[in-house]
Order: sequence, then C-alpha cells, then structure tokens
Amino acid sequence: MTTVTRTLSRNRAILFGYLLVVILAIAGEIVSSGFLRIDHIDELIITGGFIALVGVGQTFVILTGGVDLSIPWVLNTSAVFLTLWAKGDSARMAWIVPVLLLGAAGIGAINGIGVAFLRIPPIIMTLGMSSVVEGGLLLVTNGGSGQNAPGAAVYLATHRWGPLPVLAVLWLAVLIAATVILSATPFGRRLYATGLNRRVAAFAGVNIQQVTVTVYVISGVAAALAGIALAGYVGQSYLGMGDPYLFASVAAVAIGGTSILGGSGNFVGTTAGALALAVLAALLPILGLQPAALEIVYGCVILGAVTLSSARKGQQDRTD
Amino acid sequence: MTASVGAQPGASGRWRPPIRQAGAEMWARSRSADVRPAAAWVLTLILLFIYAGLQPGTLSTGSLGILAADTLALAVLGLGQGVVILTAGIDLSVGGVLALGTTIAATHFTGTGTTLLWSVVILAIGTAAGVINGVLVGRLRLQPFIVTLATWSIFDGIALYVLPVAGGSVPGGYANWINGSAGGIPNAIWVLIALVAVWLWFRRTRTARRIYAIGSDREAARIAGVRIVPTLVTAYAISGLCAAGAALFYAMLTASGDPTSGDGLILPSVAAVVIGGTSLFGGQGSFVGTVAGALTLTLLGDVIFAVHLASYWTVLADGLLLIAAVLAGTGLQALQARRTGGHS
Repeated sequence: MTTVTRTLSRNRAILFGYLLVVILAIAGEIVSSGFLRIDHIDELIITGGFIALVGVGQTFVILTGGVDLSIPWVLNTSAVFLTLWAKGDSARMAWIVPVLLLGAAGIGAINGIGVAFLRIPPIIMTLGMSSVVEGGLLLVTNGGSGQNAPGAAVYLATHRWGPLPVLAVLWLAVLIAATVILSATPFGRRLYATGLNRRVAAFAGVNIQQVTVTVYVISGVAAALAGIALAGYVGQSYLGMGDPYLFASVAAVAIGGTSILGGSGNFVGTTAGALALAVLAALLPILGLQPAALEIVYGCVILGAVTLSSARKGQQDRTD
Repeated sequence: MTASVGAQPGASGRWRPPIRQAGAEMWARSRSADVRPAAAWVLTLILLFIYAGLQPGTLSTGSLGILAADTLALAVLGLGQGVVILTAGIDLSVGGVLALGTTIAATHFTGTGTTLLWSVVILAIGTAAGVINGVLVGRLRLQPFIVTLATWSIFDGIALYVLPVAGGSVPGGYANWINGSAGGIPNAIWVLIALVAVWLWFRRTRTARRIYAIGSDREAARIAGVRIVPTLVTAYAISGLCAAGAALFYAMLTASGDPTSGDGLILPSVAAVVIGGTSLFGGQGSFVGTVAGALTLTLLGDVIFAVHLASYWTVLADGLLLIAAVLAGTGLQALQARRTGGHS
C-alpha cells in the first residue's frame, strides 16, 4: 500500500495529465453528444498519435535538458520525399522508408554532435538545422507542393486492426519501447543522469556525448516516422505540414509532467499530453473557435504546465 | 569584466606616472577588447564589395538606402534580441509580436490619424508582451526559451485572428516613407544612425550596466545589489518594443501584413546578434555588431539573388551562418582568453 501511494505521489503530474484527458473528454461529450462515439474516439487517437510520435523524440531530448526545434521540417521533409519518390507505388516504400529514417537519423546525429561536441546551445543548433533542412526542402521542391501518398502509408494512418487503428498499435508499441528504454535499461539511467546534472554524470562515468547524440537521433527518426504517417493520413504532402508539431510536441511533453530542465519525466506522461491536446483540438471547433485558437491554446498550455511544474518543484525543495 | 582589467592599478604593485598609468590601462583594455563586432563589420564590407562587383552601382547613395531599408526590420528586431541575449536569455516570441504587429498595421492603418494611433497601440502591445515574458522569466524563474516559445505561439494565434491570410494594405504615404530621403541621405540610413545613437546612449545607462552584469554572472550581480526581476522585465520589454517597431518597418517595406511573417525572422534575429559578436552566454556584445550582422544577412540574400541562385538558398545559408557564427564566436573567445591570460 505504501509503495502504491509513494508511486502515485511521485507521478502526480502524470496522473494529472490523464485526469485532464478524462475531464476534457467528458466536457466534449457534454457540449456535443457523440464526442465519445467509438469512431470519434478513433479520430482522437489518430490525431494524438501524430503528436505522440513527435513527442517521443522531444521527450528523450528534453529529458537530457535539450530541446529539438528541427522536428517540424524533418517531419515535412520525410513526408515530401515519401510522396515524391513513391509516385503512388507502395512497393517502393520498402526502400524509401529505410532511406528516410536513415536520413533523419543523420540529421539528428548532426544536431547531437553540434550540441555534445561543439557545445552549441540546443535551441540554436536545432533552430539552425531546421533552417538548413527547410532551405534544402524548398530547393528540392522549388516551393511547390508534393504528390499523393502511396497506399501503404494511407493504410498505416487510417486502417484498423480489429478494434484498434493501426496508428494506435504503433503508438502502443512506441509507448512500451520508450518506457522500457527509459526505466529498465542502463541507457535510460544514463539519460536521466545526464539530464539531472551533466557534470556529475560525466564524473560518474556516463558518456554524456554518446547519450546526447543518441537522443537527437531518436528525435529525428521519430519525426520522420510521423511524417510518413501524416502523409498517409492527409493523403498527400505539402510544405508547412510540420509547422503545428513544434508547439504540439513541446506542449505534450510539458503537460506530461516532464521537467523542461531535464532529468525527470517519461513518455507515459507525454502520451497523456498527446491525448489531451488531441481532445482539445477536437473541442475547439465545437466551441465555435477558429483553428487559430489552437495556437493560443498550445501556448497557454505550455505556460500553465511549466508554471505548475516549477511551483511543484519549489514545494518539493522546501519539504525535502 | 573587461573594464576591471585596467582598473586595478595596484595589481602590479608599482607606482607609475598618471599618464603612463592611463596608457597602460588603455593598452590592457585594447588587448582584452572584444574584437568580434569589428570582425562582423569586416565580414559586412567584404560581402558589400562582392555584391558591388556583381551589381555595379551598389555603392551609390540610393542603393545603400535600399540596402538599409531591407535591413531595417531585422536590425530593430536584433536590437531587442541582443538585449535579451545579453542577459543570457533568448526571445523566440519576437516572431509572434512581429506577425501580430504587421497584421494590425495592414488592417487598421487607413489614414494619417489611424496610422499614428495604431502605431502607438502596436508598440504598446509589443512592450506588454515583453513585460509578460520578463515577469515569467524573472519572477517565476522559468526557462526563457520555453516561456517565449509559448508566447510566440500565442501571439501567432492572435495574429491569425486579426488577419487569417497575408494581405491587407497600408497607406501609400506610409509605405513610401522608407524610400524617401532627407538632406540627401535616405530615411532608412537616418533610422539606422539614430538606432546606433540610441544604443550608444543606452549602453551607458545604469539599466544597461545591470543587464550586462546579470548576463556575465547572475549570482554575483544579485549579491552586488542588482535587482534581477525588474532588470529582466526591462530587457524583455525592450525586446517586445523592438519587435513591434520592426513590425512597423516590415509593414512599411511590404505594404501589407502577414500572420506568418514572424516565424521566418526569429532565426535571422538571433543570427544577426550572434554574427555581430554578442555571446549567447550573456554579458558580452553590442548593437554596433548586430547592425553589421543584420547587414551581412541582407547582403547574403542580395548576393544569392545576384548570382541567380534560387532565393531558397538564403534560408539554408542563414541556418549555416548562425551555426558557423556561434562556433567562430566561441573560438575567438577561447583564443582571446588564452592571449590575455584568462581574462574574460
């Protein structure tokens, strides 16, 4: 019993995240009956799935005390190249997907090397990289829009396996993998150690450079995967399709109770954050608000979450 | 930090005649002086001559006026960004404030009266936005990047409400002012000169010294009696005010408004500051360098255009230049620290 209460109190922020999802969902059902119909829940899960996919990378990066601002354009680049190369032929995805994931891993590795070895602040490194990737993509597409997504990508984003959308299964797999990596592997422990205190971690023998490069690689690969799925969901690719996912990924991490300073939090929390944002995004049009309101909501949610978490931390510091 | 090098006459324990003492101090100061803003101006001049070689007539007053006009919004944005970076912070919300400013300008500037009135409103909104950032960063001790990322999103959203798609218009006289001239010198160049003059005055104020102090060592500044919260609020308010001012010039240049105009200017605003030699870690830098940084970015775009490369190259080049400038800045600083025996 005591271990249960201890676990609960340690993960209060995450519980709060899930509570928020439930409250928002019930509010949705109240203002618009049918909000919690099974097909609408599917839609919520798919919307949340994209946020969760970019959120997993952002979670890993933020846990080390960094941030990845290059996610939107890595996502967009992967979506555009998928449609550009596949030309509607799903068979080609057998080589396109590995190439895209490898390319994104390379971009992530450069981010990580800049942060870990060249000591460039993460915001600056990933902001610069974002611009380089955006410029490169604009040059390739000449500013035009992409083409239609191949069938396999559409299947990934819209089909169901039994009662679950394929994307939900992917999300669940990512959730399990991320949770195991973070809580049950030596790499996970090194990652938290790096986020808590780089210097102490280095003294304790943690290869913080290796950890840092790895988390940015994970973030790049996750963004590319999200790009492939999103192209499938939308049915095509276009420039700017990644834009909402910078704010969304950071907001999901913040709602999930992960410390923006690094060192504490996990992807179980980010999953709650992604769900909460998906429900919010569905609620706004029902309340008669324009899509622009979503950006305002993202901003307020980030501010609210980090303010709460810093207040909680202050309280903990006093009681410890 | 720099001033203290020369301000310790007793350090060597040897008496010198006052005039030689002053000479020694100047020598010590020049040895430890920050060379980075000067390096930025050298880079600007090199690019200017390259561009002049490609595009004859570049060095005429009229062409330099156009260059200044193209740089104005970025330079003003960089002035504010630079002040925040001096405190070891960063202001991503300048993008949101700029976008909101241009949309208000494009929808509310109809005649002289409304233009004046709404200009004041835009500047007030920008300042208020900065105060909010400053309170959150200073009072609640939140991370500057997360606070300004959030407010960037909020102001982008509000801008979309004001004007959902790029468009609108501003009065012709307002848009044309930037191309005008006074006393044979283009207005845009006058504005740049005025901004540098304001900076040279501001740098000597107590507020500026406090901003530098917080950036070089926050804890030491606090112990020395610097009130951290009001100083940070002032720094972010200046940045908000500058972002709003940049919006006025941006609307002048494009004669319209755009709710997404700010997103593409956040990186250049940081890049102008960093190319200009301001340290991302705070406490060191000058707007004199930032002007060179902003001119460098504009000239880079001009050169890319002159050699008939796609304009998208500028987006790519800006990102590379930012990273290169950070590396060069850190490298120069390390080199200088070694030369002056560890001083700053």
